[in-house]
Amino acid sequence: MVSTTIRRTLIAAAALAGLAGCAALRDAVRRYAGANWAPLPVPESSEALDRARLVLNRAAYGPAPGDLARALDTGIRGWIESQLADEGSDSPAVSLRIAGLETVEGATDAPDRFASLSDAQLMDELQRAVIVRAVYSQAQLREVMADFWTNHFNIYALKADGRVLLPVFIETALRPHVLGNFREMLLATARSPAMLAYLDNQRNRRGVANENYARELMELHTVGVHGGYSQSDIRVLARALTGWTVAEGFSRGQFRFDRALHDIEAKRAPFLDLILPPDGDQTEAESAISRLAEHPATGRYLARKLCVRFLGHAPEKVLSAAANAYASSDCAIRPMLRPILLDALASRGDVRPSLKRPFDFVVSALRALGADTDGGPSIQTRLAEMGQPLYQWPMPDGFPDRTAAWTGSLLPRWNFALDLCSGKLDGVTVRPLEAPLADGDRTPLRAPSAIVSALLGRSPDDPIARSIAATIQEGLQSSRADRSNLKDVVANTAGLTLCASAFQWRG
Amino acid sequence: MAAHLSRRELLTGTALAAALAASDPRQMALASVAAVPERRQDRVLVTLFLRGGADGLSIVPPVADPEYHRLRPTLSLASPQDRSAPRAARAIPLDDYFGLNPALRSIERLYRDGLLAVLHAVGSGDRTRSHFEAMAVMERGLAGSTEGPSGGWLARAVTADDEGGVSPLRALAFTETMPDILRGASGATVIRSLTDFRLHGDLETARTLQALYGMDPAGDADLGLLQAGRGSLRVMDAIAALHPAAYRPSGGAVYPPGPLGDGLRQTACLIKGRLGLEAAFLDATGWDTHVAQGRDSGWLPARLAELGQGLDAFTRDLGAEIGRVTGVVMTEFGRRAYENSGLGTDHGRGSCMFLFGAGVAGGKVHAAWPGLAPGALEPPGDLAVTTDYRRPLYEAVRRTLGATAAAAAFPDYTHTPIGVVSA
Repeated sequence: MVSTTIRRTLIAAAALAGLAGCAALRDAVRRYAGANWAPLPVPESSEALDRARLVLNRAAYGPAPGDLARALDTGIRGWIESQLADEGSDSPAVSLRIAGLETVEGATDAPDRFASLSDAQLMDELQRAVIVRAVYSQAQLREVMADFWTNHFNIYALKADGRVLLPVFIETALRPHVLGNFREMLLATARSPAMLAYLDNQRNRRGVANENYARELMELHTVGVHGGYSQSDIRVLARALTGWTVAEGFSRGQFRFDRALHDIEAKRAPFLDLILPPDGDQTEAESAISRLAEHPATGRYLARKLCVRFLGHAPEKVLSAAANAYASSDCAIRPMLRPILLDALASRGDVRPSLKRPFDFVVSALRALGADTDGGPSIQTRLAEMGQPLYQWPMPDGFPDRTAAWTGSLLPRWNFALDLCSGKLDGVTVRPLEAPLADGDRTPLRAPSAIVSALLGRSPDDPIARSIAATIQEGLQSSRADRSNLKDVVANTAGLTLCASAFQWRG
Repeated sequence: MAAHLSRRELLTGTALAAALAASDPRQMALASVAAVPERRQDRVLVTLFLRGGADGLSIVPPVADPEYHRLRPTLSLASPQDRSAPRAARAIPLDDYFGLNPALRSIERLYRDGLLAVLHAVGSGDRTRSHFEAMAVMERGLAGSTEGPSGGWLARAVTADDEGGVSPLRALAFTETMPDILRGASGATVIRSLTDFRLHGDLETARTLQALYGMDPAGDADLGLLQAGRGSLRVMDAIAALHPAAYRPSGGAVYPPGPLGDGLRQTACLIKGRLGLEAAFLDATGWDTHVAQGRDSGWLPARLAELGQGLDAFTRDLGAEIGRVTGVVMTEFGRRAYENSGLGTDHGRGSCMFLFGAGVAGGKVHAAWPGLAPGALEPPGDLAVTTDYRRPLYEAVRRTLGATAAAAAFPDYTHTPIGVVSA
């Protein structure tokens, strides 16, 4: 663990390095930033290792070198507690890499400043930021939750001004709240130009109201499609939201309530227990949104989704514990996570298999290798080939998180893994994996077992690790490649290990 | 290790050994065409799903219905005979009641040639008007609620008769992710580009991968993943034999740029390559037209022009092969009968459907038209569904994949003939 002083120094150094382009300093920081790759610790029990690996694959983007050792050291519950505490600042390894991204640094409440950037730069920067944060942040749970909410409140970057509006949405509406209060996050997304534009509420005016946002607000963002509302509740909510729009002119790109466009008739929404007298204003929709956040169906809907994300399904006991925690904590997200992570996940109880989405797969591979990446186009294109081009899911439900949605596209994953480990991806450096091997393992014959074990986070005696290592060994025997070249053997083994089914699971 | 490899997968292994002995072992083709087992059928079902709820009332406008013009003061298309309207805003006549959106002019010839049938007021029983519920119902072949079998109807159809050799290319999705409609079809694969569907590694790497995906599964979920992996390797083999990079469309076909045109072109390439494709699934987004959808120009007409150009190119490219291909164009629901104040339309119920190709009773609009009068609309104001979407689908599946497949695809459905696709 890095002391606060060192961290501050490194952040300052990173900023300097970014500004001055001082290569030596940048290298120094980067050396620190990429943790040293190391063989797995031998834990006291394989059960402890299995539990730590499961937790790091679900509440984090998989173990980076040294992570399992640290988690075993503090105890896995201790690790979860520290992640829930979430100190807030970005790790130096992150700060270094996002320093200079205009979409991160300049994302205040004036999205219009990004209108002058090219579409290509906006898309590149948006993706770089999310990749780099997921790979290098010490606050892994925060990044997992950022991904969760980004999909929950999905916005399609290629619709209308999406690219221009997304940076502010991500930095100010979502990220400050990912472990905070759901009602505040919901209200922030409701007032965000990105959401108002994406779901057409900026064109919602009195007369025949536009239902798009009102519908998804209930169906996807809060109570869920079976939450109990009627088609008429949707129309009333849509009418309450008339006039919620995006400003033009001087404050272009900012939220604006336009009274002239607001439906001032009286409204009744039985589902929300709301009776709104005539001549209402912006507060009509604000109270409706608050009530939606506080609705018991919302607690259950969110709890179910979180259970599925972390446990692979939603056992009723955990689901209701999470929903109750949400209800009794005034919509707080952390208390909802506690039963899911500390009681269910940490005990490795009722947990079902869950396939990594391409983003999780890519990030976990980069982390497992301790790779150095800027999250640039070489990674972004591969994610698109695997079916997960970031911020480019057109429908408002976000990328699917069902195993069945992703099993049909393994080939692009394999190509990524093979290219990554043979150094063919621009902007990505994988340090020689043979260097940190123990002396006894530094032979072409012994290395595969050590590499497989380290990359999968499984003990060399684990049956899955053993059988994968044996299969790779067998392949190497019949290969025409130079089997005496340790470097080749190691790179080949690493690539194939990341291709194996065992590495595709959040397990 | 090989305990979970079936007989047909071992076929690939044999070919692999032969390939290993070949003079150029760096050649990426893992196995030759000989490894692709015999096809069960030579008919193909092509399903194109318009995601977002395509506006049936704009695609196939009921121009003779006065209510249509009243409900859509700015969006309605004029009747073909309406000389007072600009020519561009007049629908193409389909019969004396319905017209075709002028942006679809490129497929008018299919209709006139009897290769295209139009259905209207089609849909499911879903009343949530949620994209995701309605799509789940339709992709899973259910009546109206998502209670029911979780697999997709196309998956059930292609796997209904799993005896005998099955081509690795029997079921493909040209989509971003595996769609629900093919969920449960072992070996079904997502393809974005045929030419890129190859492994970045040498033959030994491919062999080791095959062995890694032939390992004992670590549970049911892992078994599914291992099967999918072996499926991908076999698809890769088969596609390598097709030389997709050299493919040139014929019949003067010009596909529109973009994923829809690419998907259709690659589907045609596979069909003509006769590698055992039985079901291709494609989708297109951009149909959720809540604002400014446009009448004869703008967003929706642009989508329709792309769709029309794609179907026109696809059918031209197939040439005589269209005789073994039946296609469906469908959407999860239609849109509200009246327009909103943003010149768009909100989620509704009934929409239209296209069937084209072999066996189709084309040149006709098949509709039990409920009308758009206030009493006929389904509250809060939607075109009622009078034809269960499974009626035409059942007939399309029966023709292409067989009667057993049709029965398996829609388990809780009793077929009432509609006569839109012959057996």
